[in-house]
Amino acid sequence: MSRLSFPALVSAGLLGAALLALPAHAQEEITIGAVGPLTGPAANTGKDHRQGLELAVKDWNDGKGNYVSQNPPKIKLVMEDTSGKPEVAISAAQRLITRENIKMLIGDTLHSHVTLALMELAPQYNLPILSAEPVSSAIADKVLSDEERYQLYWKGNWNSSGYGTAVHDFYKWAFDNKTLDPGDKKIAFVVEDTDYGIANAEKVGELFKADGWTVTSTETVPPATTDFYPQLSKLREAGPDVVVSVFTVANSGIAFVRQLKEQALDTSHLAIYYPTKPEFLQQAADVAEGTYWAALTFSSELNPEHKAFSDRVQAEYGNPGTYSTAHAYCTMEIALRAIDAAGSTDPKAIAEQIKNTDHECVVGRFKFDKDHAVQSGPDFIPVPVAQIQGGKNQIIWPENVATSKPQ
Amino acid sequence: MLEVFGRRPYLVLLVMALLLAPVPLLQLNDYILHVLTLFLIFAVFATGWNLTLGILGLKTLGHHAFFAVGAYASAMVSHYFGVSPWITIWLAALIAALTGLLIGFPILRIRSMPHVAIVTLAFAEIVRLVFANLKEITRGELGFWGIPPFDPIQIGETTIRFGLGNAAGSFAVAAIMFVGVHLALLLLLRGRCGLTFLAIRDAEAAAESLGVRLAAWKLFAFAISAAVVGLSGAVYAHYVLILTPTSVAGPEMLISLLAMIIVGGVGRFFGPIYGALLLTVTSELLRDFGDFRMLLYGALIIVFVFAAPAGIAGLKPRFSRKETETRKTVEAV
Amino acid sequence: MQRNFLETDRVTVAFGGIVALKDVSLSVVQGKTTAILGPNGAGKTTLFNAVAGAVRPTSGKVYFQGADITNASPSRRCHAGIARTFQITQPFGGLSVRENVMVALAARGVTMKEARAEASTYIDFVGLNAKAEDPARILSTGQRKRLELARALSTHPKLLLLDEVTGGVDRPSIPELLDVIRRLREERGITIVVVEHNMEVLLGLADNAFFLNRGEVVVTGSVEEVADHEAVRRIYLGDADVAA
Repeated sequence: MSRLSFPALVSAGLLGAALLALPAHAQEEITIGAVGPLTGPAANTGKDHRQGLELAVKDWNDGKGNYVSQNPPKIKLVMEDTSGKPEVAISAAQRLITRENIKMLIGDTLHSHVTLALMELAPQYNLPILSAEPVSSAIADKVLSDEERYQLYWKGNWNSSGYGTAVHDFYKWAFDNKTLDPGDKKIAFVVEDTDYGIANAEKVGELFKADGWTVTSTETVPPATTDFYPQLSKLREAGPDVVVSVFTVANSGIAFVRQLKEQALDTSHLAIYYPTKPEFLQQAADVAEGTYWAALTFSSELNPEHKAFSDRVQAEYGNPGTYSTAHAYCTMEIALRAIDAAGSTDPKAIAEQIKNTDHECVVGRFKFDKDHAVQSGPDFIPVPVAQIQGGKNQIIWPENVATSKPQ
Repeated sequence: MLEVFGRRPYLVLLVMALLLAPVPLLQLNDYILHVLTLFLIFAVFATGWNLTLGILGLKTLGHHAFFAVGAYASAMVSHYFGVSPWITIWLAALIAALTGLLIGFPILRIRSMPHVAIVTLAFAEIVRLVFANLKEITRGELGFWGIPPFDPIQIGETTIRFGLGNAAGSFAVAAIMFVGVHLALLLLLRGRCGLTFLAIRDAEAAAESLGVRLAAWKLFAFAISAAVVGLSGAVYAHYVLILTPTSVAGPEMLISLLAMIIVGGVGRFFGPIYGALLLTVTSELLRDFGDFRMLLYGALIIVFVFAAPAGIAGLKPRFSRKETETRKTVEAV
Repeated sequence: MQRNFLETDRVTVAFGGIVALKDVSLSVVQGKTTAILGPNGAGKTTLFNAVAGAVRPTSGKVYFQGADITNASPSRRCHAGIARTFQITQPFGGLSVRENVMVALAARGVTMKEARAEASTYIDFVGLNAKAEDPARILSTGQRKRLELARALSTHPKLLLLDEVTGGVDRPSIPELLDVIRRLREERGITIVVVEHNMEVLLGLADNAFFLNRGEVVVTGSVEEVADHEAVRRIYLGDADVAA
């Protein structure tokens, strides 16, 4: 035998194992598949998604669901890991399709770029696909580029422009009712150098410019920056009336707010994203007083419904629920109700029922727009603007969910 | 060159080709074909990287940059100019090769391996940042979509389609690339090229004193290696149909590919293939273990590194007499 | 101006602040074997490297067959006819003995088939036939020295630089090795420059000698004259006696 025989044996064994892996036998209940980042950098969020999805299916099967028909089908959920990579997500989805014979796919639960790959599977396998938390507007653009092709794909979250619209609408409201003074109508941005940061700055800037404002500067800094003195001295010169900052790392936000306070700029400041992190308020409560921020989408302190949901998750899994848990729960509810309403597992019928969704859930009212994305705004999924008042978060806009007035 | 190629490399490649040939006809489900397609693409990627890492002996850690360059180049040319992917993949390989030359020049001046590693790593990071920031044309981290799959091929009554969801066709493309690239590299490396690369790897100064033009050969190795990796990236792009800078040029790509090369056998011609097969297939087989999947996956890599420090390709059956003799000689010396 | 076969003209090599060679002028006559002697740290290997191209002189020139090769790369020097061996042998461990010898032939553009055949000549010459297909990694030090000779020979050298040919070689193997070196000159007419510690070896091998100390040439002459020189005896042989 040649010396290569051992590696050859290993290879043959692996190939054999792969080829012999037989599909699981058909289930009587309807199987829904889900794919999300259960390992890798976003594993924490993926875990929340899994809890939310499982909890919704459990409630449904236990007779505690929000049913459409008298005779709802029993559901089985199988979730697979994507490691946050598109090609792995496709492996996972195809495994679910071929071995679990799923009738619908929830995915990706988090990543937009993974969703952009997964949505290709909808026409190929004639499978309804509903993504959970991804927000990138590129997904909606892709749907609009070929509606026929992506008729089975739906996006369970609003578009990334939702933040921009909320920030603009909040300020417009505050200027209109004289809470804030627009001054010389100058706005500036300090954002992290990611798509998230830049896309938000662009959207807000665009909406303000349409109202006759000038964007004095858009300063970008690498993620996790903690020294903002160069940017702040530029701001001092430009003298903007509104400053919007976007960071995904809490430490950057804490440093920015602290240095902004030291510089005592006479400006209104709105923070995007980082105040959702609990450590922000813990470490910056003294200097962050009066800061506006977006978006307080989930708060067990302010919202009794959120609290009740979080407590259920706590009881079930031993950790509090987050926005991600709640959103995943709602996404699964949409899927379950669509299958129930369709009365069959016909993909087109299910897609038609997703399209008709108008469902009030713990994070808001789910209704899809023409671009297959869930709508955001006061009447749908609220993107509430909060203010730190007396060291606590208070929702100040939109008025229908406000817990306090702006100060 | 025996330890790099084994005794009958062409026979080994022929056996591999014969194993792959009937796969599309086996009526396998798409999932299995998809996993095998990924294995083939990553095997070519790993083989291309091994050319500089294992065969030339330069500790380059930035080849995922060439994968990204190849993937984006082919995707963008076919998307924006409507050129068929059958053509753009070769263009991508060429662009990747030129990029390889670009990074090859500064590498020539660096003698210390840790510095080569750092420079190439930094280069990959620069490439990732460039793709992330050229938002107007790459859409940055939002993802580049709208990449056309390979054009369908009509053979008699049947049309072969490609891209995600067309598993058999996609597998066939990957398999042809796999066999073609490995055959071309065998032809190249079994001759003067391989001899010279290995000489440079084992004793650079000695090779130079024997008349080997170090700079030219190293640049050549960089270009070939980058071209192979770029080609695999292009095929990946037209298969998966979505690219983000992080998913193709991020640190995770670096780690999984290095793991494939190391587990398979650095500097062994067939090593990266075994490594890619082992890691791609087992990471899927381990899905049956649910939450323990990645734990077992990590443990598997550790076991292989300890049990086969020279890689799977370096494993030798005990009963080979020639090897035993060789070992005795080593002990005697 | 007529120059000798190999000349160094006031070569100085400094590594940072340390001057390893200072104004060394040396000339080698074609067809003769020249020895470079000196205690440890005298600059022998640096001089050697300056000739072989591995080190560039800080100032001064190196001429080979009348041409200025001061700034030529080692590979260009090789093509010009200069070959070398290494103090610490540098075999291509992953290649077989035959493949080691084929590297230079391939670099010269010989086809693989011809290279394979031609390599046998050199392997024969150094007496490594029995080991031709073994990986170089498993050779003993003496065998590695002979492999380096075969490799150097395959470049068709006019000048061969041998760095510590007997260093690390077990005593019984030395005569055989020296025999190979003598045959290089006698049968192939190759000019040899040798760095060697062992005076006994040198007396039977070299014609002329240069004695280096602290980076400077101290004594020049025939190998016997240099060996008998008072300064050499004081600095070097005393040193060697102690070492022995």
